[in-house]
Amino acid sequence: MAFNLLIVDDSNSMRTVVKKIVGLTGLEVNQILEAVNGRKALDVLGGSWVDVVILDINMPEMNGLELLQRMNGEPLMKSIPVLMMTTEASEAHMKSAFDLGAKGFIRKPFVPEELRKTLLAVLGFDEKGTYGEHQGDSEGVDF
Amino acid sequence: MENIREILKESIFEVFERMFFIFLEPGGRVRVHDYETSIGFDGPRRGSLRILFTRPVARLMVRNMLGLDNGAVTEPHVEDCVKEAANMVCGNFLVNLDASKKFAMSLPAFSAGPGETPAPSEGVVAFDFDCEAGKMGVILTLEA
Repeated sequence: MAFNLLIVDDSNSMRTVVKKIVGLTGLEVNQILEAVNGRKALDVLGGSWVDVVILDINMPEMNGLELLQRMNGEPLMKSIPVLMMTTEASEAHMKSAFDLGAKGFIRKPFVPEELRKTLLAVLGFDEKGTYGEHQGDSEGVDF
Repeated sequence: MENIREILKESIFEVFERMFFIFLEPGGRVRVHDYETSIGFDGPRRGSLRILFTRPVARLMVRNMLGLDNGAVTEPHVEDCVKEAANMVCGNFLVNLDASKKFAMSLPAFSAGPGETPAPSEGVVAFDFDCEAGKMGVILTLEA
């Protein structure tokens, strides 16, 4: 199964780093889509099939938590797994994100292995890349 | 203030080592910088963080983060990378300061062009660092 990923981050550098790390996960990737803020991400989500969203919080126009809220109100977007990837990692930010349906949370700065493991878990793979081990983990992912 | 200084220093080291593969050491004062990025925060404490870079340090950050050759580094790369550095250092500092409290951060600002680095003043936490490529400075201002 090949995945379509959407990376939402206003930093071009960070999106580039994430794309490189995704390339090292062993995941079969069909397409990596990008958006620079929540509003642009909504446009992408409205017009493309997306299997997982990797989402920053601190962005102009529409931040990551606002996007999560909007996705919650859209039946076709609500079920898309979201991995938060942000510097804003207070307990309150994490709770807000998980309450809004995020499936994983990774704090910047991270090392590639942390992102790889968390992304695989959000997609339902175990650390060795076997599918199904983490499926249905609605409580989020340990990191 | 000493506790804040230590938390900030560790937060800076963590970001530069993990994301930019740069190992900083305390250094002499950065008298002139080529780039400045700043970010504000609000919450239980209000303040701002400024990071001042010499050109070689900023270019090394881009090269290391994006895996580019020196000749491929552009000014937009530099702006994006140093702004993301401010975002990460500030966020990391605030979480390390008190993860139970919610802070709001502004979007990072950027300016290019040589500038004189202000002398340290009272109520400000300032660091000067050296690395393999040159110097950089960090200035944290906390409002009372």
